[in-house]
Order: sequence, then structure tokens, then C-alpha cells
Amino acid sequence: MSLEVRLCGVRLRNPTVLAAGVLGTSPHILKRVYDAGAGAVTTKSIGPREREGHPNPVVVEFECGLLNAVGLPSPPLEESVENLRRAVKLVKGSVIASIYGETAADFRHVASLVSEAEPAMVELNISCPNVEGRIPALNPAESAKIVGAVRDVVKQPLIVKLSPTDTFTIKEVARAVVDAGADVIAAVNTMPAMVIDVDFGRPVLSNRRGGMSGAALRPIAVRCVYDIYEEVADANVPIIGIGGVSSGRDALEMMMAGASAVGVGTAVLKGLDVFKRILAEMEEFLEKRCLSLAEVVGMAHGR
Amino acid sequence: MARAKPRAARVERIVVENARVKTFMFDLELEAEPGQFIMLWLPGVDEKPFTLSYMPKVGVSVARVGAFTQRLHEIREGEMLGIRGPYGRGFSLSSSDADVCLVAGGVGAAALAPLAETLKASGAKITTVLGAKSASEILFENRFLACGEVLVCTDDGSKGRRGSATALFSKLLESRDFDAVYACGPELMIYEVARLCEERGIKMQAAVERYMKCGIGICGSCVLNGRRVCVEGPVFDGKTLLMSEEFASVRRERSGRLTRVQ
Repeated sequence: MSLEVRLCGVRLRNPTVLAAGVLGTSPHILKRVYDAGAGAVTTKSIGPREREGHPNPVVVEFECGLLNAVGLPSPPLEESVENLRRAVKLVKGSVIASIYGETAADFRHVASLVSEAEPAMVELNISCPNVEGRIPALNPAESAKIVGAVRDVVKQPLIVKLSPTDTFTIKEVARAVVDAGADVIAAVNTMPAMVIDVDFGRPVLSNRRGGMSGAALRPIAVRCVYDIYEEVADANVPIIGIGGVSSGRDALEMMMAGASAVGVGTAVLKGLDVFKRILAEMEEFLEKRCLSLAEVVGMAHGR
Repeated sequence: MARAKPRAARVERIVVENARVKTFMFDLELEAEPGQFIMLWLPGVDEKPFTLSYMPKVGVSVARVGAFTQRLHEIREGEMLGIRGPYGRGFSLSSSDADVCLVAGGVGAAALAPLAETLKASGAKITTVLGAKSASEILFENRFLACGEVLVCTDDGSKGRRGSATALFSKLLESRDFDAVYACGPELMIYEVARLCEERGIKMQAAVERYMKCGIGICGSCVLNGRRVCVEGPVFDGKTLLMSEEFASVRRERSGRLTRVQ
């Protein structure tokens, strides 16, 4: 059975997408993840200037997920663009370029260079919780401003990645970025969180605060996707649902909430074969129920 | 207990091994193999990967090379640090390898000393090529001597033969053959040892280093071509290393920028 999906004309051989920030540092590792079964792979976010990110520890696990504060490390921009160019050549499928900036002008500058490297899509990371300053994705006007700033320099479909931090404004933000020209919504980034080590009496992450991912994020992400779907479905804006997906049933849940494709991040801890396992479980479910993938998208609405 | 959460461990004993290296023994036991590593957390400073120089009772042997290791060298017995792991893939051993050679460069001996002890327990004949910059930087000579023959060399000739471990190993291969070779040390040394073994059809494995952040295979900082050094490594076989175009050529800095391997 075909699990192929189309996002704004971009064909993905299946709906799983390697989420931004996970692995994505080199052309070879992106190829390896694609070859392991992902339908598309996303680069680590490409920034306007070289950045080392936060000191270690940058990750800490807890009972039902992971916190990270890697802090958007990025090689110099020209080197990131060259990496992207090589990844696009090496990977026999869709490469999504994730980008970030501190200002709308930064985003525009990075977007214009990245777009020239011919990724399948460009994703705006306006929702990383681990850097200085505000998260643009918490504010509809700020989010729209960044989308507006890059829209005319990005030739590819434009994805905007939203934050789960304020579940009650996420619909407004989704509407604002779509009105400003976003083609796809990715939801969600990690959730602001903290883990304190009791023996040491201090937060484990060097940044103290981090972003939570994994199983604990999933119900939050499902709700966000459900809400965004209500807001943007009639505008035909597809959603990439991201947050704690590690099985076929998790992926189906995300799609029933309204996602057309599903990001996989923290679940790579289980091994790169997680993509194939998710797909096999989805396929088995769909066959048993005589359902197509398209029928599943948004199924939970109105029931 | 979650996999990637540091455990508090007390420094039980500190041993000054040579001019640059101290060994820190902890009140913690881990089931681990030679070649595997832990992430060692100095709260408020940083967290770095170190190969286990002792196991199951955890010990790491650290050369003073930068700001983090300088701080670590100031730690006293009784202080508490964070440890997570063990991580990665260690050396894989075959019981049919009866005659083996270890090639250690500098602090690379830290990964090979527990391997020597494991190999000795299985009855293998062990020859160690132990190289260092000078006599004051030779590490674990006694541990290797307790497991077999040791050939020492130093860059400045202050002990043993003058010259590199690679040169001594190459010379050794003129008169000896081995079932397997294990190496750890500077990357260019590993590259040469791998090449010499490949030419002669000798099985070879080496533990390599890359800048590590998460240690659990999710951040991508330590990739060597398409392989995660923290998960698929840090021990790789020689063939894999020789086929990796980045090996002995480039490595990623903290930002991800590529720099040349020295």
C-alpha cells in the first residue's frame, strides 16, 4: 500500500519526517536517516552566523521524555549552505532546510541563501525555547512579520514551526502566519521545562532551562495540531505534527488530529530503524481497517 | 533510572599517573566494556566524554589539555561529580585471536589498558607499542607489562626508542604477524596503523574522538561521515575508518564548523 503524501506539491515517499535539530549536522548523516526510511529529512537549524550553542550538559532524560538545550549551534552561514547543497545532492529524497535568526532581517538573509541551495522546503524555526530573547512564535504579529520578511525570497513551500508554550494562542499564531504566506505549519517545537538534580541541588542543563520532547509532549502536541487543523484546514494548509511520536499508533493519532505528515525526533534514541517500525505499524493498521492515509487525516474532528 | 541522567558519584581516590595525567576512581560500578565511555559532569563547568580506564569500578584517566581538564585536575578526593553512561560500542574481541598487538599513543593508553587486562584473562599473547612525547608522559606501562611484552618509544628519545609509535609498529611488522591490532591515540597515528594493517590483511580496531554533546545519538555533533561516534563508535574497525573520508582529515567543532585534523 502506498504511504506517499504530498505537501504543497512536494512528494514524500511516506509521512515520516526527521525533525529539525535531531542529527541533521552533516550531509552524510541526513542521507543515512533518509536511507533508514524517513520520508523527508530536516537539517539542524541554519543560523546567520557561527554559534557554538550552550555548554554541556545539553540533554537530560526523565521518566517520559528528554529535555534539551543545545542552543542552536551553527557553523558559519556559507559552510551551512554548502552542507545543505551537498545534502540535497546526496539524499535521494526531500531535504527540508530549517533556518533561524535573531531578527526578521536575519531570517530574510539566511532564507535567501538557503533557498538557492534548492532544498525541497524551507522551515522557519521561530519557536526554539533555548536561546536568548523572546520566542517569536508566542506572538502572532511578530511571527507574521518574520514570515512576511522571507516570503518573497523563498522559492520553495514555506513551513513555519510553532511553539506549544501557549496552547491558547497557537490558533491565532497559525492564522497569522498563514495570512502572511506560510504554506505548511509544523507543530510543535519543544515545551519549556526544567530538570533539577536533587543530589547536586541544581538544574542539570547548563542553560538551566530546556525544551521538553518525547512521550510527555505528545498529548500537548496532539491538542495543538487538533486546534491548528480547525483553524487552517479550510485554507488547505497541511500540518506536520511533531511531538513524542515513536510508534505507528502515535503517528496515526497525530494524523487523526489533523497532521498530513509526522515529525520524528526524540524517538531516534530507539535506533534509526524507528522510521521503518512506525511505517510498518501504520501500514498494518490501515490495511486492517481498509483505510487510506488521506482518510485518516483529521479523522478525529467532528466525532 | 533514565539512561541520560547523571548519577552523583564520589571521587574515592586520585592517582597521579604522570606529568599530565591523573586517574579519578569513583565509588560507582558500571557494567562496561573496554572502549566504552562515560559523560563526566562537573556541575557549573561542563560535561565531557572520557573512556573508562578502569571497570567495573569506574575510573577515568585524564590529561590536562584545556579549561575543563584543568578544573578536573583541581578536584579533590571526596568531591561529588555526575556520571552518565556507559555509552557507545567498545572493542569487540574474538577468542580465536591468540596473538595481538596494542598500539597506544599518549593518553590513548587509557582505553587500551583495560583491554589488555581483558585480553590477558582470555589467554592471548599481548604485545604493546607504548608511545608518548617523552618519558614523563608514558601512561600505564606497568599495567601493560603485567599483560605481556611492552615496546616503549618517545618522540624525544628520553625513554625507549626515539620516534613515533607508528614507526615502531611498522618496524615490528617486519618480523611479526598478529591476529588482531587495537589502537588508540592521535588520529593520524590511528590512520597509519589502520593503513599498515589493511595492507597486510590484519584485523584492526581503534577508538576515536569527536566533539561530543549529547552522548546518546541524537544531536549529531560527533558524526564521522554518517556514523555517530557516541553510538556506533567510539570503536570502529580499520576498514570503516579508512573508508570514511572525514577520518584523519576533518572534525566538527562545537558550532559544527569543520576544521582539519592535526
